Amino acid sequence: MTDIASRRRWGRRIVATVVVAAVVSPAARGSDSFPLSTYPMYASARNGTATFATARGIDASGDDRRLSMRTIARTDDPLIAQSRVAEAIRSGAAALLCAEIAERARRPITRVEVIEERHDLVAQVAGRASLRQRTLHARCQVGE
Amino acid sequence: MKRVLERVDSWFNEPAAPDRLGALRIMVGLFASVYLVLRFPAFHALGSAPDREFEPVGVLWLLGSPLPSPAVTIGLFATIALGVAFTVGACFRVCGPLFALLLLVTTTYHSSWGQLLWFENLMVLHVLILGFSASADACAVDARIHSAPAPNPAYGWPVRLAAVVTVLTYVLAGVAKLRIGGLDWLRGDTLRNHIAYSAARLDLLGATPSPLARPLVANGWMAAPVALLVVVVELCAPVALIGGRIRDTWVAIVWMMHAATAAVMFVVFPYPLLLVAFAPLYPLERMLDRVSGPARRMPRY
Repeated sequence: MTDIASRRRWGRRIVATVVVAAVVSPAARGSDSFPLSTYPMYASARNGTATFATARGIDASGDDRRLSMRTIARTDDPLIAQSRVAEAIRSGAAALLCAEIAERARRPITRVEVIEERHDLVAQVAGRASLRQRTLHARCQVGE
Repeated sequence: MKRVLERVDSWFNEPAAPDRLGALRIMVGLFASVYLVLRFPAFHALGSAPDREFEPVGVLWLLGSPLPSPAVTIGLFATIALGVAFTVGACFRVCGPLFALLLLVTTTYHSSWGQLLWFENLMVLHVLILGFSASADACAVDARIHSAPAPNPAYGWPVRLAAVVTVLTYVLAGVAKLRIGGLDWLRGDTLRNHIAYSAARLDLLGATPSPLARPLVANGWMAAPVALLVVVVELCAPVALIGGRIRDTWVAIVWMMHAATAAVMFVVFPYPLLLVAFAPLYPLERMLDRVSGPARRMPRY
């Protein structure tokens, strides 16, 4: 093998080792990032109840009115929507988010609430009564 | 041990036709470019997202505040244009690395708003490998002015590296389930609750859950064997590198896992679902031969 071929071979070995080490490094460090990740999708232990950060619309007679994901969080991705609402609650910006949702909401919705709801998951999916707890973080009126 | 390392080394440095690398570049580049175009509204909306939601990650961790809206728009158009150049293999010495780096920045920015988006990781890693290799020496605009190069390790190792990265991501996912969820994950309750959680989240956020979620959650006994299968398949991902029927079987099972996730949870991982993630595991030049015949292998001047 010529010197050049040997050097190239070593170059490839080094690059490959660095790339493989980089890809597995998040698992060694235990920290998730992008694009180097621990790939923890669905890995967390999850029991039968869960808390969801979301928003609900209410009409003039006090009945629940469904808000779309776009109205709630300007996205069609539930992962992003949930994360946006949860982050607003965590950072004390629930009132601000509520006002933004109210701007996007339309009649017959008259009020918007940013809430956290705890549900029994199996009951929720089965369509049975599932709500265990509701925490109100912000309430605002929908403009004309 | 020395013999094993020698075998790994010779597998890794095996000469390959430049078409294999070129075909992989086209598949990955086409996917990434179309993905950027289809997700343009989601990426573009980040230009007007509230500053409070910005949480920079990865290569952008030093960025103190969100980018101005025009910079996001210009960056997106530039990334898509470079993606086209990457796919057709034009001015690749410049456009290849530049597209890889811009895609890294663009997708990192996409994940910098409080939620890491795992379905983009592998695509970016593959583009980085291909962008910095000689992947436009065949099946490319640049290659028209050269004669077809002979098989060389320089065309084989980026494909092998991409294949190793693909299987590693699945191993890491399996390790994460055992490390975070523990052995309880194998009992199936966690998986069933994740399915129920996804359905409930869609419902509570104003979307419609999959009609398949309800029967699956109601018949919880099905979750235990599926959970065991998922972890075993993920941890055994390196067997796909052996090739042949073992590889085909592994790819088929993993594809079905992704298809089931999409059908039951409406969580779509397009890169593996469209099989692009698994392309480095296959001798793509043979597929090219079937499509365009031996004329493609004629020297070009």
